[in-house]
Amino acid sequence: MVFSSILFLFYFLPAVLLLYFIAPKKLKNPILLIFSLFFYAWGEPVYVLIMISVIIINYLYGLWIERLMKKGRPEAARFWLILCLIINLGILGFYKYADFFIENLNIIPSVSIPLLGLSLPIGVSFFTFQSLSYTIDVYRGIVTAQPNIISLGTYVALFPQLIAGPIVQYKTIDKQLDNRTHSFDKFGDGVRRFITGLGKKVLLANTVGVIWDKVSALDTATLPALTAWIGILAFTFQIYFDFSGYSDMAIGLGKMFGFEFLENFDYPYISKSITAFWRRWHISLGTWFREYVYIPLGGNRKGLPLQLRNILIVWLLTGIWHGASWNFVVWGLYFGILLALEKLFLLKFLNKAPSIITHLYTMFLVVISWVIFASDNLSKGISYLGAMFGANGAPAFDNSSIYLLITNALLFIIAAIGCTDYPKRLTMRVEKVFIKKPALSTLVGCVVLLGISGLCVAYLVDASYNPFLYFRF
Amino acid sequence: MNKKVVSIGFVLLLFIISLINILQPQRTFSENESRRLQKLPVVSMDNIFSGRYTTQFEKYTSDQFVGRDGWTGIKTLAELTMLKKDNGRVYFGKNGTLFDATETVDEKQLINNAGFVREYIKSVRKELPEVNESVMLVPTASEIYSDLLPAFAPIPDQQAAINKVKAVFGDDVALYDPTNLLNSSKGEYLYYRTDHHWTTHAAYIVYTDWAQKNGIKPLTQADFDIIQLSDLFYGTLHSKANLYTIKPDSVMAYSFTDAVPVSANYGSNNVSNSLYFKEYLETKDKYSYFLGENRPLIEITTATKNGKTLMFIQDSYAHCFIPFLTSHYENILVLDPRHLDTDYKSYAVKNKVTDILVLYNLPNFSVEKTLKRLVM
Repeated sequence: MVFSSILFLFYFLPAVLLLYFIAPKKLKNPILLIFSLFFYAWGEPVYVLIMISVIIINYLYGLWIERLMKKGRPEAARFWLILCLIINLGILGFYKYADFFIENLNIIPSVSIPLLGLSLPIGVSFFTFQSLSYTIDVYRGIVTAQPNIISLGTYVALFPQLIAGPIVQYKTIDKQLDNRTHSFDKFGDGVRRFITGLGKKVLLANTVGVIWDKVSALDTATLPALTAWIGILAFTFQIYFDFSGYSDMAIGLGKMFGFEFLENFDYPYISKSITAFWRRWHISLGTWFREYVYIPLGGNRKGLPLQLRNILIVWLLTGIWHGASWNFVVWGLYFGILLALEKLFLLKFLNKAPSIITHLYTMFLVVISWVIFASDNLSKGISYLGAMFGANGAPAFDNSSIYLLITNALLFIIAAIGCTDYPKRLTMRVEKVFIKKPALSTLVGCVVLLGISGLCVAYLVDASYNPFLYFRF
Repeated sequence: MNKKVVSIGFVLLLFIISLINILQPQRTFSENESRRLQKLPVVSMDNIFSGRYTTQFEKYTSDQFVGRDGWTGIKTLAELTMLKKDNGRVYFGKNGTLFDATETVDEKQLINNAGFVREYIKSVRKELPEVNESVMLVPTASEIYSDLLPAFAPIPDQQAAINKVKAVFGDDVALYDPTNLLNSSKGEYLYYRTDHHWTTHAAYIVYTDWAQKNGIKPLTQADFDIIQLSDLFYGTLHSKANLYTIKPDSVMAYSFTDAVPVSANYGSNNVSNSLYFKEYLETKDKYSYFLGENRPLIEITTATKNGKTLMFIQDSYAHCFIPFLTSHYENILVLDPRHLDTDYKSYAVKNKVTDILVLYNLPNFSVEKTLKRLVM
């Protein structure tokens, strides 16, 4: 089930809101848990058992590890922690990476293992990382083990961030699980956030996504450069609005149920360096890797050579986390190397360079990285890059390129503005103007929210619109 | 901004729309999309475990959404406001003209189909050496009214495609290409703005020329009354966009002042003495007034006792063309390979056809996969 669907908006959401808010406090978490499991099971009727197993395993291990620590047996606790890590990562590794591993083994001439053909349980990369943040922090003594399996289950399975994050670390919502407040203020904020995210996904991400779908299906050997650039720009917009829109919806939904999650995106496309970009893009992932991989490896506290090693390891893992394919590994290493270079000397130059240079530098490198990220395999990615720079010998543009440009010009301009904080600043300025007239401010705000919601519904209904003209031919 | 108002408003709106969706009677058929709409799926163990239930339920939620067709119109308006020139299904052309944006020419299939037609004609000629054949490939609006398309809009090159077919036919099969004729009559109402078919007037112009080139004296304007059947025709292309503000088309009929009596057998015991179906004028699909829906076989006998039998292998473009031929042939047999899987050669021989006319709109001819039935 996805948030941007009639099913979620007009069937699931009203049901969960109704039952949650009429329920007494001690039933609220069980209701969230049941609905979250249902939400997951809707798309994964069998794999929901994996989710349930992960909850039970981490619940038991958490309690056991804390008990051992309290009894003064840290080595035993560490042993069980490592076992727990192996199980969690094993689940992730098996379902997500087994076939990748096998494919690569099969390159060896005498090896020919049949592929498992397992489908990937949705969100497994997210909920295993969330569970790990719980167990590791219990071992570290940063949080106390959760004695109530329903509460832990609610944390692991919580439907707002189950499918696409943000990755919420247990310590962020530890207290909120059993002690959160609900208010119209929070709920209203949540509604605003949710509708903004929905608009980003349905009106921006999905519409530019159509452009990328069209261009990426073309033959790179004859692809004109202009078309290639339009295509990857479309993807650049799509992935930002899709991902950050989803995070907005997750944070918004969380707020409706009284949870405060951390931000996951902070206008990454206005960054002036790759270092800044990764402090603004998919923040929860970067934070998780820093907390549980970079710092335990020593971070930057053991000298420069080890720091560089740590950076490369983290980025290798970041890359492969995104997908079981070599292009993701290359993508991760690409950024690892760039970040290392920036840390070594590039940042000094960037800090002195004019804004326009740093903006162009950053976005150019980011767009190139998306080519690697978006290509099914490395060779396709490289030939697409070639097409962007005319290496395929195709003309710089053709009629199709110009048409794409004309018909999408306004959309791209709106998308570009949407990547900046101008809309937010405009909203704040408008609110300041109306500060003495709250009724008018509310009216304008509601009209805007209704407008966005209405358009979203129109686009969602249209997506299923399927004129079947067979009979007419 | 008052968050309480927003919260309550949001929840109320959500609940009201959900209730309306659930409580309103379910629609079975969408006239605009001409397909059945998904109803609430049946709950059964089999359905649930196979994953069919969730898929069908999701389809149900959007198929039964209140005001479904209207919402699509809103999306089209939003796209026009964004200065988009297409919605993925149609191009928004000038003068309120819509063009099919999904039209393509499948070069491989085109050559194959031309080959199938040639082989078919040759095989029939073996048994009926006197048979006259003609293949008419009619270009669609994007070829003739290309100046109304959005600038640089990618469309297939239909003239080049027709020339490729001519090359395959060589001297074996006579190809009739109406492109130049239609081009020179551009100023007239040749194609519907909201439907992918050509108008009766265009069919008439082409009929006049084709008849002369095939040794038939065509009827003239004096032999007809041109009557307007409807001025509210919103056709297939309109369905693909649902745009509120578009001007509808007019459907004209050429009513013979001296009509030739006909008897038409539409199959399944449906025999009529008319080639027209008035009931479609009350529906969205007004073009089906001419010869009705696409059927496998229509056998028409006219009062023109000249012993000539014309066999049509066609798509719906032929439907408004056929009535012009009732005073030139004793029998008109209308076959649609999409729906009729039979031995086409034996059929032609058995019915002693004297003339064969293959009539398709060009893009359709190039993607049609059933033409191999002609030679099977």
